[in-house]
Amino acid sequence: MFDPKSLKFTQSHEWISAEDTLVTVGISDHAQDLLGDIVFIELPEIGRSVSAGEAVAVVESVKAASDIYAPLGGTIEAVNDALDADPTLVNASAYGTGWLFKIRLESADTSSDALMDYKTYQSDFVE
Amino acid sequence: MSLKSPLYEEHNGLGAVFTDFSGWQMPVHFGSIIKEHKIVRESVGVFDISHMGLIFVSGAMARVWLNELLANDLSVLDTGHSQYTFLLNDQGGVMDDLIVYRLGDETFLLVPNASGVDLVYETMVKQLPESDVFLDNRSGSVVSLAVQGKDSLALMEKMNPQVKQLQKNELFVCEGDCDSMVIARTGYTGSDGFEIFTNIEQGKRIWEWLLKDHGAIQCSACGLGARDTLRIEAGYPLYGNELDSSMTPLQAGLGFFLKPSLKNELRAMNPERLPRIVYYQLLEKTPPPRSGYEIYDGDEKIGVVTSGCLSPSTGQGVGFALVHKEITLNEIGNYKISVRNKKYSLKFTKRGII
Repeated sequence: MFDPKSLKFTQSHEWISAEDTLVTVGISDHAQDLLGDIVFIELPEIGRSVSAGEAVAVVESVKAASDIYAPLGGTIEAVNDALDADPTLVNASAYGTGWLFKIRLESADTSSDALMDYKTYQSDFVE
Repeated sequence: MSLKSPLYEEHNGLGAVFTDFSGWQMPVHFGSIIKEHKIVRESVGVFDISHMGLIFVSGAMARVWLNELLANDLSVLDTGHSQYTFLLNDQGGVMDDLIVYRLGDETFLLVPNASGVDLVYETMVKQLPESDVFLDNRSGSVVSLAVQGKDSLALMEKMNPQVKQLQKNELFVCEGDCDSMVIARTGYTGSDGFEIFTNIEQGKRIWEWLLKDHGAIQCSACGLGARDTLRIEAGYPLYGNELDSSMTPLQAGLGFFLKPSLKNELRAMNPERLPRIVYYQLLEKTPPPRSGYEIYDGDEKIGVVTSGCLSPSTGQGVGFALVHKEITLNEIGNYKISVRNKKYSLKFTKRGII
């Protein structure tokens, strides 16, 4: 379980946690609350090369399908297989067992104008 | 301007998430659509359906006149019974689907959809005879509740012991303490259930009473999200999705609810019954089927999804589609649904999986 205060967020409600060149991606607790019961998640293929801002996954609630965008460009290195059997893990633990996928970056540079800290995300996109 | 249920503040207090439904701000859920769906299948839940229309029709000619106006055969409907029916346009297209409750020899209650009530009422006013039929449109100024689920009878018995005498589709009008209240054993979920139509003051009291602690039976507030997944599982059509003014009830697979003479007339107009509404069940794990997704027979596009969901009971994708080509029921062949350019196998079946 990540401490959300240590994460960076996009305005489309993804979060990232970077460890050297490996970036874990999920959706914020606020986003899962807005979506409601999550019933299906489509994750990218491992090895797929993705660019920042590209739609790479779909999270579906009873009422709607929402695209998930890659916050940074790189190669998909891992996906959370547990979501296939139980997509509600995202509802239960958006910053923990409900993570979505991991991207391997070319360099450890995660600076991006599209990313903001928890405080900014909360004040600009949640409250 | 959006309309609000008389129970809006109660819903707000329960933490409802609201949605716009035919111009009404109504609860879509009170926390979880899936949980509310399961509550109805496993115990009992209550839906606020005060957005539905409510039109009383009375008078010496009421029955004869309504039987001409509506598509089902009202001559077979006894007092204390209800009937599913349609208001059709000149081409046999469905202007609205509604339930008619026969409250007395000369008194009827019509319950059209929120989206259809204005059209239904206007049509009635235009065709109203000069005497012996009276209309009273109470839409928007009543409380209507649907108490639905396996334990609905046990709960309703605590409120009014008379309900145990009701068979499916039967009703009675309460008198005395509970004046002007109609209780019917009807619903839109596929589970046992009751619908209550009453005035605002009494409706608020009943809502509160239903949700209080009843010991072994606990009733929960449910929203329109679960109402939709329940009706899809049960195989009931929704106006605007499976029914509209361009299609006859026969094309929607609802010929059973037509007078025999009308059924023959509509059949003669379109013997192929195409395009047609059919029920589908996905045969593999899929994303939720949604309105607008395309249906294929091999590589040929043959239709489009009108309603769908992953059944909260089984996880299977189910729903309705509009097809413009003859299909075979229960055939496991080449029928597919396309979701984001991936195709998944399905079969067409008789409607409903519960």
